[in-house]
Parts: sequence; structure tokens; C-alpha cells
Amino acid sequence: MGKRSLRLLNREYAAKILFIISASAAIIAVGLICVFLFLQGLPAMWDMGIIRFLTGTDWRPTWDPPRFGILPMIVGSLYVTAGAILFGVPIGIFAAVFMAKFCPRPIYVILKPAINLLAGIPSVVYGYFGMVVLVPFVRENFGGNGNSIFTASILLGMMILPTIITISENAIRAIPPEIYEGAIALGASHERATFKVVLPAAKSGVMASVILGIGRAVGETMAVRMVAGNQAILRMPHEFLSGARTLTANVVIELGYAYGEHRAALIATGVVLFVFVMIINALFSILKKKESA
Amino acid sequence: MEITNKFLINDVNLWYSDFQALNNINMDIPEHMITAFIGPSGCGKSTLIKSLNRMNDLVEGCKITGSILLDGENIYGDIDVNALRKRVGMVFQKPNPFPMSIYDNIAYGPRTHGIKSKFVLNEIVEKSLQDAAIWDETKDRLKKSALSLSGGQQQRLCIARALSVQPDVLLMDEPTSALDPISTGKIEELVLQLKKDYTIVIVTHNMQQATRISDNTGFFLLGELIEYGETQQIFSIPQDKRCEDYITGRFG
Amino acid sequence: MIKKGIRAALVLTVVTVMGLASFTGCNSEDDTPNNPTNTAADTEETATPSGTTGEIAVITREEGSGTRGAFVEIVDVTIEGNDNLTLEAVVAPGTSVMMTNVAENPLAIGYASTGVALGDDRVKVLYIDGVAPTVENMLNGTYAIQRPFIIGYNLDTGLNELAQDFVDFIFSAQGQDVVADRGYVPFVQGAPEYSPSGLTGTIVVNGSSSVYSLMQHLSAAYRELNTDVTIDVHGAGTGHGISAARDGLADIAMSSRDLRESELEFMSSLTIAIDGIAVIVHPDNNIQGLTLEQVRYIFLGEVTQWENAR
Repeated sequence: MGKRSLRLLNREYAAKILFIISASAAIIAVGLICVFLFLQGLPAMWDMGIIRFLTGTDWRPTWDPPRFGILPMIVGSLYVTAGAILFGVPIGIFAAVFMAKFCPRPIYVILKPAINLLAGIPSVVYGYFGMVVLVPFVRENFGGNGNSIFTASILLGMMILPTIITISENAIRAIPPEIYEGAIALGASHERATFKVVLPAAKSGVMASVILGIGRAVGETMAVRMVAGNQAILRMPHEFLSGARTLTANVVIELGYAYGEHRAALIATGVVLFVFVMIINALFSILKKKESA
Repeated sequence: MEITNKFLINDVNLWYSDFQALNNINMDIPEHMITAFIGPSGCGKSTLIKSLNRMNDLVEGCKITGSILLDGENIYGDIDVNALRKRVGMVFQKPNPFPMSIYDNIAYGPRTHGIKSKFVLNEIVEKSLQDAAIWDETKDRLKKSALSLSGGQQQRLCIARALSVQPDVLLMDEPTSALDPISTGKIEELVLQLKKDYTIVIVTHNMQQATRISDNTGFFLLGELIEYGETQQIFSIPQDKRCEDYITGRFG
Repeated sequence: MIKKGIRAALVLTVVTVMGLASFTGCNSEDDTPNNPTNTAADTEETATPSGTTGEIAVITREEGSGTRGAFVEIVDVTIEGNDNLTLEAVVAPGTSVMMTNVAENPLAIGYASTGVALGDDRVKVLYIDGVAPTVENMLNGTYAIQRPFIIGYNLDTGLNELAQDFVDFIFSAQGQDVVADRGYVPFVQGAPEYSPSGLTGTIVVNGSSSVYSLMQHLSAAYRELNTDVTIDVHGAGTGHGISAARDGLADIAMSSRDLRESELEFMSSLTIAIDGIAVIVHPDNNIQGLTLEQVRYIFLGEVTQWENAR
């Protein structure tokens, strides 16, 4: 008896240690990335002048002397992300409502795996699709040369659909049926009960899906760099049919060749991106806290 | 006083897929009275009350035969279900306020039925909250979330919400089962007041509650209506042995 | 009415989503034949007076790319020695993205290794100063835009026996045949025959993505003769390859430009082939050739319309 409980205790202890190790692995990874990024990126930013780095509009990394201004890329990321929200969020939310509240069973069993598939497609495949389908489509129907903020927005909008649909659908399904029945019992139609009561009730979950979608859009690299044109030029909003370069594209396009100061500038770009993502994550946790409160 | 019947329930049988939940129910529900449905769990009393505003339509595989006449019109005939539910309001077992402000909870119903005027809505909100005896507690916090109210207040809010669309009938499905005795007392008091303007049908597990508030009581068992009559009579001299056993607490 | 509208919106959404799912699921790229039949014309400079009009869509490789470095230098797309390629140019990260971009856009102009461009009939290769980028024209030096393909190894550690054998193969008759077959100009004339060594092991090669495709074919040909050897070829870029060789992560580095003074301190430099850079346009573009000067102005962004390009 005593031996057995001791063994159980030991086992529990071992499991505990295993969990602690696993949990700390994740924390250590995040910590290392932080340390690496900031140690390498911040001094470079300091040397270049943080303000000049963040607000400079010239990106000429191979020049002598080089010019490192990433404002065009910051703005580029903002445009492309905003565009993705514009395309992805309404479609995503409508699709989620449909899946949770309107979808007949036979369609659902096709639709659900299709959306999961959409989430599983590698981003290069999206990129290739964008390059051979979307770019010519935009060029022929909207003008410009097709490699543009607009094209990247559409493509990113598609890519964030699975995130938005899946999480929003779950949020909608998590609303207790009594809430819906309460609306029906007042004489509301299915549509009105769904859109005016259930969907607003799922608001925080839907918002969370949107924020996660934004996170994906900001961080997406492979597909965007294949369709966005990647010009390091500060664009105005009305130039949405021209190309732009995002922060992620800037890092990944040039990192392979970069050394010395150029490399440091790219890592500093990574720092800026990191801060962006941290802000988004902070928003997400604030929202979550609000929801549980 | 002449008694008019609000509902006439004729030969109603109801199935959930293969399971027969109601068996040949016939009963009349009189206007401006409180009718209580009692019986052990699974006896069909909740199923019957949900048939009165067709909430059973939401249950997949639910089939019903026979007829239920509301003011002479078969509600399972060719009628507008949403209009029916506007006439026959419902209060649920668990308070289910919408996660929005107190004001919007009450205004949702009238808005659904096309009322847009801010002025009219304000009036309806105030009147409904007053009728549900919760106006004094809420008048200074109409913009606050309904979820910030206590359980008993939430249930009275739900009653106010049901009143907001000016129904004829109020169906109450165990409205106090989730509440403490003080809140229960307030709701019972409220129900007695509402009786003069509404026909009320209430499902309850609580024998005392049925005796305290209802005029008529129906006792259900295994999907059948065993005994139906004036509450006083049912509880003092029940005709059926099973009804007597249940009322005296020998099973339940 | 409203009900119908909502239904319609929902159905539309579903159709869109399903459409996307099916669309993205079916991409496949064909192998392109190695057949330099896509040069502008059989005879030189037969441009017709009426032709392609509209804004030129300049496509370039990314800053730091070996091909871009070579192109900018040879064509002199510079200002005070700095890369001055127009910022409005679409930046195509990687050769395949460049090829697809030009193949898809009727108004595009870009550049790529002749080895790649001549083998890809989705694009049209232009004459430069009236000279086609053929093997012959590069050997006799008349084609203007050309550069060396170089391999190197760490001078401190030298080459191991196996890697040395592979280098011997590259400079043998068989190896240089592969170079010629791929549309590059063999650098060694009258190379000796190679006979299999029977060695085993693994060789790691890394560097220029332009040299990558040639190196893959060389490695395939070598392994036909030495079946027990594995060769890992990576095309991470010239700079990457050189640092990998320096740090002992690769046996052989590939470069698509002459090595810098600083690099020659620790790297050997062996030219294995000459690569021309082809200027490419969409096959529907009716222009046949440009002068080096015209190419320069287009890539500087000073000529922006096709009607002004000739």
C-alpha cells in the first residue's frame, strides 16, 4: 500500500517535471527569439537612428553608402493587411454564420473539409495561384500590371478565411441555444434571430477570429511576395493598383544575400514586425480577458 | 362570469422521431386564468406547452397530429408562425436574457415586428418593465448589460421581454426552478397580477406553487393527461390513484 | 425580401469558398523542354513598325541576387556605381517567379540566365545589339550580357578526395558536355575524358540559384557514373554558398559573379561555364531586339512606354 502510493507519487512527480520541461521549452524558444532579435536588431536601429530607420522612405541596401528606411514597408504591410480584412472578414463571417446556422447537412459535410483543406494549403501554392490566376485577372480587369496591393489583399483575404470561418463558427455554436430560442419565441424569424441576437452574442469570439486573421495576414510572407510586386516605394492609398513591399517580404527577399549592415537592417525590420505581432497578440488577450470577465 | 376558452386541444399526438411524447391529449385552456401542468419529469408537460407556440418546430424529427385551436384557429394549419409566437409569448426555465443592454433586450421584440420610432420604443420598454415589476430596479441602468442583473431580476426581465410584443398568452416553462425562494415569491406575485390581462399556462414541478397560483391544473403521466380540473379539487380530492400518489409525494 | 437577400449572400459565400478550395488544389507546372527555339527570329532585327504599346512592366530580381548584380553591372543600370534599377520595377524573388511573371504579362520585360530563358518557351528572348544569346555568340564574345559561373572551395581546408573527384568530372569532357547541353558556354575546351572513381560518400554544394540548375544536371550525370555518391545541391544564393563553404557547411560553393577581393582571401575560384543573361519579354510582344543602351534606359525607368522602346 505504502509502496504503491509512493510509486504513484513518483509517477505524478515525473509527469509534473515532464510538463514543466515542455512548457518551458516554448517559453525558452520565445525568450531566445526575443533576445536574438533585440540584441541584433536594436543596436543596428540605434546606429542607423531609430527615427530615420522607421520614417525613412529610401531603401537602397546595396548602395554605398546604403540607405535603410523602412517606412514604405511598414505602410505596405498596413495596406495589405487592411485590404485582407476588407475582403476576408465579411466573407468569413457570412460563411461562418452559414455553416453554423443555415447549412444543410449534406452541404456541410462537403464544406467543412473544404475549409479545412483551404487552411492546409501551403502558402507557396496560394502564391502560385495568385501569380497565374489573380495577377492576370487584376491586370486585365482593374489595370496596372497586376502585381499590386490590391492583388495581395485579395489573396491574403482568401488565406485568412479558414481562420475566421473556423473560429467564428465555433463562437457562434458556443452561444447557448436558449438565447436563440428566446428570440424565436418573440416571433423573430430564423435570420433575424441569427443576425441580431446570436451573432452579436458571439461578438468577442468573432473579433478574436478577426484578430487572429490579422495576425496571419501581417505575418504571411511566401504568398505575398509572389504577387505584391515588392517595390520599396511609399505608396498612397489611391495607388492600390501599384505594388508595395511588406515587412515580411523585405526580410525574406534579401536575407539570403545580405551581410553586415544590410543584414542588421533586415533583422531590425524583423524587430519592427515582432513589435507589430506583439501588439496584435496583446489586443487578442485583452479581448479574451474582457470575454471571460 | 362566462368562461371562454383560449386554446382547444383536440386529439393531439406528438412524436420525437420514434418516441411518442404525447398521447391523445384533449383539453381546453380558459382565457384569463392560470393553468398549471404538473407531473413527473418526462411526462410530456413541457412538450405540450412548447406545442402551444410551436417551439417544437425547432426539434428535428418532431411530428404532431390532431389540432390546437387558438381563438378558433388551428395553429398547425396554414398560419404565420412568427405572428403566432408574437401572440403566444414564452418564458423559459433558465433566465435567458440576450447578452446586450437591458433596453435592447426589451426593444428587440417590438423592433422585430417593425417598430422603429425611438419614442414608441421608449414607451414600450418602460411599460413592459413596469408590468414585470422590475422598472424601479432598472430604470437608472437601462444601458447596462442584462447579464449584470441577478437571476431573479433576469427572469423578470425575460417576462418583461415577453410582454413587450403585447401577447395574449404567456407560456411559462418552470420559470422559477432556477431561482431562490425570495425571487420565486416575487415571480409568483407577478404572475397573479398578470392574470387579469393575459392567459397564462405554467409548467411547474412545485406542487405548492401550483396550489398557490393556478386556477386549473392538469396532471400528466407518460405522455397522457391523467386528470384535469380545478386546482382546488385536484389537490383536495383527486379522482385518479396515480394523481393522488404524485400529489402526496409517493412518487415523483 | 430581406430574407432572400441574406440567403443569396450566404449561397454566394459558399460558392466562393468552394471555388477557392477547388482552384487552389489544382496547380501543376509542366516541365519545359530544353529547346532554344524561342529566340526572337531566325533572321536579325525584323521588327515591324506597328507593335506592342503601353506601359512597360519592368520585372527585376531582388537586391543582392547574383543575376541582378551581374545584369546591373554589365548593362550599367547604375548611378555613381550604385544599383539604380527603377524602384517601380516588380521585384521577383527567384528565377521561377521571374519567368512566370514575364510569361503571364504581355507588357513585361525581365531578365534571366540564358540557360533558363532559352529552355523556357513561355517567354521570348530578345536580340541585344542585333546578336542572339546563343552558345556560339557567347563563345565568340559578340553577345554583350554575359557572366562567369564559378565554383569555389575553402582554401584552408581544401577539397576532400570525393569533392575533388566531382570537380575533376565537371572539368572533364562529359562534364563540359552537360554545360553545353544546358545552353551555357563550356569554359574548358578539349577537356579530358573522366573515368568513374568508385568512391562513396556525400558532397554538399550550396550557392547561387542561377548555377543551381546546371549543378543539378552535373550532379545527376556524375551519379550515373558513381551510383554510391550522394550530392546535396542547395541554391540558397551566392552569398549563402560562400559563407557555407567558409564555415565548413558546404564542400563547394557556387557563384554567378566574379568573387570579391575579400572572398578570394579564403576561397578558390574556378570558372566552369559562361552564362549569358537573356532579356526576356512575353511571346506576344512583337519586338525582336533592343540595343544595350535601350535595355539600360528601360531598366533605369527612363523609357516607360513600349512605343518609345525602339
